[in-house]
Amino acid sequence: MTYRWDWSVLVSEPYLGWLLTGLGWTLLVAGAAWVLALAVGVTVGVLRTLPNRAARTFGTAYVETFRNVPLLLQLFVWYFVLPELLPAPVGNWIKRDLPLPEYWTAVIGLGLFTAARVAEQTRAGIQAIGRGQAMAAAASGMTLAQSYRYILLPIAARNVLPPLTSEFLNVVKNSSLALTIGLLELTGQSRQIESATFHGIEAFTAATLTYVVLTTVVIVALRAVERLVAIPGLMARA
Amino acid sequence: MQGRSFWCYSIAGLWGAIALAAQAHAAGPGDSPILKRIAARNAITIGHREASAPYSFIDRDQKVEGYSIDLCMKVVEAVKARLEMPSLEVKYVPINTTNRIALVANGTIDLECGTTTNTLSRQEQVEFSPIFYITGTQVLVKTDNAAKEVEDLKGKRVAVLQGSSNEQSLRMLNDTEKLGIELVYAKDLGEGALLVTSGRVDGFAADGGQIKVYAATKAQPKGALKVVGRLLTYDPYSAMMQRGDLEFTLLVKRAFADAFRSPEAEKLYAKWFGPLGIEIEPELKTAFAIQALPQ
Repeated sequence: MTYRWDWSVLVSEPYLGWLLTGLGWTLLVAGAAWVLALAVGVTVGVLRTLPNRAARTFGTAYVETFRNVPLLLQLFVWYFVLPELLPAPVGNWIKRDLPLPEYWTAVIGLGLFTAARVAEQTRAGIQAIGRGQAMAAAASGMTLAQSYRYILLPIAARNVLPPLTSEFLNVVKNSSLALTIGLLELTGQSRQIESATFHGIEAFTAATLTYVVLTTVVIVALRAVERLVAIPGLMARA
Repeated sequence: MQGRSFWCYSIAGLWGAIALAAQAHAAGPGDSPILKRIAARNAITIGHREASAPYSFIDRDQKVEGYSIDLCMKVVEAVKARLEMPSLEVKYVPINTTNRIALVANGTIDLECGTTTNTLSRQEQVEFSPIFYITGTQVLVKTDNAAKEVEDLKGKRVAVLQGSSNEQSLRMLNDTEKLGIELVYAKDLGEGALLVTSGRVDGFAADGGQIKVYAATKAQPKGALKVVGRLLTYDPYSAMMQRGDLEFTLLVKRAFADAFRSPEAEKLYAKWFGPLGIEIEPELKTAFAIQALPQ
């Protein structure tokens, strides 16, 4: 190995700035995609458990579509194919006038993909409760909406917090795919530094450690949430 | 295919051995770590690009081909002659802009044959062969675009390759001349051209040689794209190898100088660029002449 190490490249301008900009985009993409994924995912997950057959079919179709196509491909479809399929004025608006097209495409692509996974967690969380609770809710005069609002969803949310933590970590890590449609987030910026300085190993090490720190923060935060919202006696806890 | 290329190279190597026997330089690996490791493995590892036609690419028969590769084969012949190993195996490792430096530095690859610009800051990490191609940043636009220079794209959206020297130069020009160009980052050449074709951007700034080849071969429909503008940067291509091995570096320099002098390099240029209607430029011809050092 004849590699010449130079860690100072990471703290010298403009490269430190590049890394920080990259980190900023990673946070913005992952954060927005996570909000979208939770909103769409919980909705679709609930749809999949409803007595209404049409709702269940729609939920299943959504999950299977978004879960069965690689995320990378989905991003390409959103970015390159969708504007061509839409009517010309709308397509041109997306291509030319939409501010930050790469960012919004990445958020929608990543958010809707993750939503399919969140939906499955939500469904599993609701189904894990068992029919007794839903029947008891109905017997005590609650409507379907009330039984979800006051009984099923609060318990399901606590059930699925640990797997949802994993999904959140996945959103953070998957946001690196946004570089394939031109959004220079953390991984993209470390590649920029690699090309500019040929000190790629240092840049990728910095990116790796940053991801580790980011995901550790997410884990610690969500663990705290788990403890905070736990209902004593309701669930077996390790 | 493996078998065929094996025989091709064996025969080529034999001719190379005969040609070089007359010059009879020091035989054997000497104190060169790279030559020692090639001899120990009985194989030389070439790093190649997968889709940089016609420089370095995988063709329809899954064979590694191209102008850069053919020139590197001159080095392979010289190594075979030097080590007196006519049946030396040639291994190919695909590389990209992200891993090429690490793979050369850690010795996975003996010689990188792609489209790498030879720069001084890169020379801190790796050694470069003589320059075998010269290009510079130009702009790919739709044929009906009236822009003649990058300045005519003021306030428009222009695509660049992530981490390329083109991007750095365009960003500097943008700042100094206050052009207000919005940069869009493309992953590779095909994607950059797609951004232009689909109208997402007005231009794509990249190595002139590569986008000229793209416009000549892949534009849909034919003639839909053109290359405009002066050369904004100077991008000389060289092959990369591990730094600090003087013996091996000299061998590579010698092989390239021979090819520039003979003039095998010009023939290879005509072989790969002639069919695309691209003639050798005077700058490159001069570079060949200057780098054809006497024995």
